Amino acid sequence: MSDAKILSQSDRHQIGATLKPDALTLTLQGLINEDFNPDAVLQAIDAMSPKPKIVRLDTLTVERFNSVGLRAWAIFIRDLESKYNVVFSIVGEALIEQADIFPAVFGRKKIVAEHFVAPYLCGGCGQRFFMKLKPTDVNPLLPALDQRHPGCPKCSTPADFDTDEETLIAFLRKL
Amino acid sequence: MLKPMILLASKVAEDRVFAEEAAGAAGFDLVMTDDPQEARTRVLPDGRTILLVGVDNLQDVVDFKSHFGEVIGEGSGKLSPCFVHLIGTCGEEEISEISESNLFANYVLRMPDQAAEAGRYYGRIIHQVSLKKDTELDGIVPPPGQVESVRLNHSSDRAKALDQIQERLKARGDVHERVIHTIINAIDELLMNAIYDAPSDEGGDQKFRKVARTVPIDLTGKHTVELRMFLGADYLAFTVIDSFGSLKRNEVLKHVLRGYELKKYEAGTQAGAGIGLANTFHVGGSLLFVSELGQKTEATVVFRKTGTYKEFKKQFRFISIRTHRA
Repeated sequence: MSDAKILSQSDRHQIGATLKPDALTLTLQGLINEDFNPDAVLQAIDAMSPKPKIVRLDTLTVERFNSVGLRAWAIFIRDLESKYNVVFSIVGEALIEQADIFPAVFGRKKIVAEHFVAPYLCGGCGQRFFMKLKPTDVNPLLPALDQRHPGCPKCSTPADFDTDEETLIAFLRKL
Repeated sequence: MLKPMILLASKVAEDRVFAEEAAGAAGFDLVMTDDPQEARTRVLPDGRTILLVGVDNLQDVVDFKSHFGEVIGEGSGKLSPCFVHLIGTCGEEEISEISESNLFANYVLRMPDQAAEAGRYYGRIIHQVSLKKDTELDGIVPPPGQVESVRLNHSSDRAKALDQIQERLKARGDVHERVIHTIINAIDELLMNAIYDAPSDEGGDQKFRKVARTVPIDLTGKHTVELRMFLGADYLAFTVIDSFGSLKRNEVLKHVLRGYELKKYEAGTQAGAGIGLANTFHVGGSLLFVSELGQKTEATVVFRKTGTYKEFKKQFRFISIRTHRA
């Protein structure tokens, strides 16, 4: 049984919440900017019954954070992890992008991430898509992400890794 | 009229390639040496010298300061910092030393594998920052393309302008979505700086700095913000102009360069602390600022359009901060 609701919403972003007995999942979408109010979201979580022990964060569909949104998010994570066990169910590209410049967006503790995404670009049709990976999918026994060429979901052409390795490495180091 | 002269002082081979291409593109004479002491003797006394200095480590920065400290400055017979370009790698050890120096206005991030191409492009920038007082987008961005301008008369116009640019970039079909988000973020930061950080009273207090970005503000009179854009075939450039001229050169430089290499931004960092500009530079944007104290600041971001996001993030970039008294 689950209870789904919207914790925060504007015409540019939405934070949905699904409460199950074991955990609360927050799903973020769109632009995280000044409309994101970390205190209001945290208060809404605190008011939930039963109170979740784990808060899972799905940031796959966050398009971008502006600097005001980044600061608000960093404060939100800091306060959230002081009260709950925080798990990133999936870390999207917009958040990974911050790993080597503003690591506070992942909180102060070691990041617990179930999945993250690696972007690939199809040279055939131009489609950009994500491979959903577990942290254990990246290890010395497997090819590096830029050596992998998954088939494009649209045209099956082998695609190329499409971000700088340093950013993903910076993120993976925090796991 | 005698041509300006580019004088390169650098031990790095790629800097020579860069300087040769830049001089060729700018149409300027070129002198190169790997000895900063010799370079100092080659500075022309008539203000025609554009100095490029390669700095690779802390000692290079110390040497730069000691060799050129007395010849660079605002006084007559001195080489203006606007004519001085440091070429470096944003290395951790030298950045704080560089950020506190007032001896240069331009910092170029060295890209050894792109030295020739970057040099050809940077020749345009050298020409612009040496010979032009204001930032002319059609001067710093290669044609084809044209400059367009919109005025923001209310803080809510910021989102509208960003939406319009986002739609136009999407409609082009040749700019990837991740790149579009990156570009929109960069423009957003420049607009927020102009709307909320730039306005200052006679005492220098920034009246809107601590105002929540959700609070509506009329941008009339001196508060009006102008956004210029150049959506070229190969480059995309945007200038945001405010009428306050309150740019703090060393603060901007410190944040942008520190953000490139050091990892020190923490939760609780105050608004206006430069994360947005640091992010812009970090993801590939070049930044040019021209500020006339108390009159206006022109803040420009330039991106090269690339085929992939990977190339986009590894593109050549620089920061130029010129401040003038009106």
